[in-house]
Amino acid sequence: MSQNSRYREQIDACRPGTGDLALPALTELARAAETDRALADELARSERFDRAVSTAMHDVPVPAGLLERLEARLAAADVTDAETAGEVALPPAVPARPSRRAILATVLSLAALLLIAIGAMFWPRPGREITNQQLAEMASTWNSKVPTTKWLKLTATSLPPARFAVPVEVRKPVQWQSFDTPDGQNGFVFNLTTGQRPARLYVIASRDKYSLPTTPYRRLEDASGGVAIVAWYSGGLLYVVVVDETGQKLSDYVSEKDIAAILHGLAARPG
Amino acid sequence: MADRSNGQPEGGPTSQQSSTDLAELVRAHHAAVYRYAYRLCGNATEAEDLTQQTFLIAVRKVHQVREAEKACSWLLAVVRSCFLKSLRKLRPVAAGGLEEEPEQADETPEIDEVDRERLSAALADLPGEFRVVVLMFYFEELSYQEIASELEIPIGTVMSRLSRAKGHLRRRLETHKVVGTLRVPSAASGNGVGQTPPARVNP
Repeated sequence: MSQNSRYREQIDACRPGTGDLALPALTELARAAETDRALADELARSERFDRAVSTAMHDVPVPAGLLERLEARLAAADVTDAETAGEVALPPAVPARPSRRAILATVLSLAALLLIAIGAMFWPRPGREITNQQLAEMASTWNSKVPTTKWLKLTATSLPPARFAVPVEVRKPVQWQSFDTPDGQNGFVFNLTTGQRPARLYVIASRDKYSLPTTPYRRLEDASGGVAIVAWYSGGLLYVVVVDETGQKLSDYVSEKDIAAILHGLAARPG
Repeated sequence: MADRSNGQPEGGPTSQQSSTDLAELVRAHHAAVYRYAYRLCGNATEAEDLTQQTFLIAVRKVHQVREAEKACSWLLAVVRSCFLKSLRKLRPVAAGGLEEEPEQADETPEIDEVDRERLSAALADLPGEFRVVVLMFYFEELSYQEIASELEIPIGTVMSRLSRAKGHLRRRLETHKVVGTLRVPSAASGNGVGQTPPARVNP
């Protein structure tokens, strides 16, 4: 039986970018992967597969008008529930409860406005071709737009969705927050240090086309101002690390693939 | 099933407060709820029904959600619960399934991007019990321990179902692999040229 067969169930139980290797049923896998390069490679491949599947799982078009239909149905249900239960939950100063017809009329009149907004949100935008020079400029802009007061501490209960998890090649972050790029793409930004000079990882869901590898990383030569920018694109996610190299180095925060060494550190991460 | 809500607030909410909370809940999370429902059911009509059902339940229980950031995970758990109830109504839950699948591949294929339609077809072939486990893993991002606790089944069963379901996905999503010819075409499949679409696997 190959090592992969023996550990197959454990590998499949491991969620990408989490501390799952520390869980009881997976510690044997964590120990074996420290010394077995093939097993470590399979674990990394499985993690990349999971990220790609997770991205595709969430890639479901939402039907136009769904929100309006839900709101209308809930408004009708709200009135029905109140009538059948005999509830009159109004404080004295509030005027008489509006009729069902009035509620539906209000909802439908909002529907026209909402349809336009939802259409703009969910209409798929064709992917653009982004050069590395453009990406370097964009990343510099992002760095200046990250609000410094909205950082969240990374804890077991305060985490972004797993598909946006920090790859093993990047140093464990200390803070995170959701991040929308100026051109409307969504993702998260991770603070890799609380020092004076910023070092950040951006993980952005993107349909654009890049000249980037799928594994870390390519250095963007057009970065300026003492800032190092590296990027890679995998599974529908754009990863960009921006490090102000005054008093620190890019390699303090991100390395190219060395799974065995990194997994050793991964197994020690809290779950 | 483990209660993932945050308990009743003291004193209870006013109807106006609940109304505002619910409206906000629907606006913020209807897309995520629909997407999960779609992956569970496999078609848009049932997914919309399931989404509606979920928010109708939320009408009665929205005050249980104290922390806004837990609202989405709570709603996804409600969707899943509704789906499982409907699954049990249709037929008894049977263990096993995927017996016709070939021996599990040892290695994960190197796949950078997954085709959405191919994924839908692969999920449609999974028996409901396997599909729920794999979707709890990918959508609700639960650990095997949490899945076992939520579904009230042994950890070993979860790991086995998860591994077999993911093995099924690996085989179906590996682009160079030709699907076996022993199966009847499935309505949900839409595979590429030159391939025989696989049958829906009966549990």
